[in-house]
Amino acid sequence: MSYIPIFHLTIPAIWIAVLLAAAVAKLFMRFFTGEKIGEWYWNALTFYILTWKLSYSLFHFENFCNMPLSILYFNGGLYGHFLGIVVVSIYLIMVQKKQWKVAKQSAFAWLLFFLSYQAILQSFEKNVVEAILHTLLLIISILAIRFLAKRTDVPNVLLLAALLTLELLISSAFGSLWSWQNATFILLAIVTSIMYIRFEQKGQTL
Amino acid sequence: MIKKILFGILLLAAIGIMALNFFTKSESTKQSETITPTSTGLSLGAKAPDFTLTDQHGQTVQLSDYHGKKVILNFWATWCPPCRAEMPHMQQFHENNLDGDVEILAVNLTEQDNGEQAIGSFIDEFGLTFTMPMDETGSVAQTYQIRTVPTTYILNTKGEIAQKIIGPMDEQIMKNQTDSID
Repeated sequence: MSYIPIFHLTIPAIWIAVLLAAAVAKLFMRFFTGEKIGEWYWNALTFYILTWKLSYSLFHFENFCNMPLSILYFNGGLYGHFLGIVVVSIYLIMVQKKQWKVAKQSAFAWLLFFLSYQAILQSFEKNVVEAILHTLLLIISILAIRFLAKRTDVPNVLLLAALLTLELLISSAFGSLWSWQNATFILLAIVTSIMYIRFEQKGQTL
Repeated sequence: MIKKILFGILLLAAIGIMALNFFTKSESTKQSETITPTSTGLSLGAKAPDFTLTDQHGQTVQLSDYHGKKVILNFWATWCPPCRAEMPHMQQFHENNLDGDVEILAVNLTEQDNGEQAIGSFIDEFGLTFTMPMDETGSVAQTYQIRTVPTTYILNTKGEIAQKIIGPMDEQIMKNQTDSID
């Protein structure tokens, strides 16, 4: 695990990668696919971060009571992460009932976020070859979404599945596929894909 | 046509994943860096500078005596809020690793601290039982260039610096850091 020194703190590279990937994926969606992502995107990220961070008080209740300020320094760890993912999934499912764009955008936004995250994180970790491969797949995905997703003869869920599987293939080549991180990405890919399938079944396309 | 191509890519990638995960050893391709420490220093891979101090029980503690064990070399003071936040996690980690190969050496910046009584109360308050060398002259803090507390150096079994972390760590970070080194 790499760390990045910022002022008087050492921040795990994984946190920086998540925030940068979120910003980069939103920009890619806007400029390369013409899709302006709504507020739901930042809301989902904020809900995740708040749940993950504040759940420290839940999972380390005694420490939190003795030293409430400790919530500034720590987070809910793996259990906090699970709780955050559950909250984000519920939020996405609820909000897409009112905003049909969420179902339309979330699967593609999620894929670009996943690929950007891997490319950025591996760059921080100085795994040059892996970072290049993730970046290449990111470029391919942007082009595919830009030029293929709007064609009626292209099943978008199949396109998403193929790109996600290629991403998992790259991850497999450089380490074990069985990690909580990959499990999280796959779970959210399934949630957003199901939402997209339901959206398509209603007769609308990207 | 495109549907067939996409399906083909999906199938080939899936077969590739299965081949990589089941037919090869699932070992990381990341080459372990074979850093040969040429000298003592504070950069990653260098041998951590040795020191001899007296701990909270009056026992002599020498860093080089811990070769063969992984060491969490922490620097702290009683007036530091993040140190207060970190201590329960460090104690928990210590209690969970009593039979393990990881030792905690939490060097107190005694020269900059608020006196013996404050240090004693702090140790009692959190029920700390790991080794706490007292840096009464400030020489070790100077050697390790401690500008901010808490600062922690993670040392491998050869006494080499594997990681430097500025800021508080929780038990999970300590576990991740010590599990990832030899």
